[in-house]
Amino acid sequence: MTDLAEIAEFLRSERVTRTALSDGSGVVLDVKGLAVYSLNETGMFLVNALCEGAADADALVARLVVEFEVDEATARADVATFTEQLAKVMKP
Amino acid sequence: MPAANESAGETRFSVREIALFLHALRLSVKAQRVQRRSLEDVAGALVRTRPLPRGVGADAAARAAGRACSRVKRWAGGLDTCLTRSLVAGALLADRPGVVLHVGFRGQATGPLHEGHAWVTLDGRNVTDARDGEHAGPFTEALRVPLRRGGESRP
Repeated sequence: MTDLAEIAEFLRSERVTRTALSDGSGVVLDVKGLAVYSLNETGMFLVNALCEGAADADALVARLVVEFEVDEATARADVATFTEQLAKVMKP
Repeated sequence: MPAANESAGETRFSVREIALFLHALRLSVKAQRVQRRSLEDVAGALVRTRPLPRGVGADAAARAAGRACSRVKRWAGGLDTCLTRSLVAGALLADRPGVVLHVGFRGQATGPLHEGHAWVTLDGRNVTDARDGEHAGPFTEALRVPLRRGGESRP
């Protein structure tokens, strides 16, 4: 299973561009892997948090709770879904 | 370049336009590789294609790219998208500096969350969307690839 550190490394690599749109959503473009990941506001927030150095799921959950004023259980479920989906589509 | 003459439903093209179309056709076949290889690699291969004409007008390049990509789709089931058209038009223009391929995105009210688009600028002027207003709305740029013959195409 791909862990968060691998996902963060992928997102920070030169092969990837991150584009934030005005509504808070965004697009991650994998130039070499020929893939486009369309992210809602929460997904883009998590991508940016990972790229800024959030090191583990707990750090992401904490940021989500503060930013979106959701309870910890909801935030943890969102982080788990996000990690699982991104790990599934990431290409080496 | 003279425009195509249209009379009584018949469209006639000049020798120069036909030659340009054939160059564009060759490029549009190569541009199909974008389904399997990175944009950077395909753009590099297209600008290295020899021989290609010099001094092609921006509008003529965009027209030829559109015609060629639509034929490749019709005849061979290939891709005819803003990206393939932009790759072809950009390669036709890349004998001069200031040619850039852009990829951008914007949100959509309905359907998929985001819409992507590719276009080519020459000295900052959009040359591939110049003839239709379909993509006049703002796209947030995600990637730019300078296209230059004799140089490398890198984002």
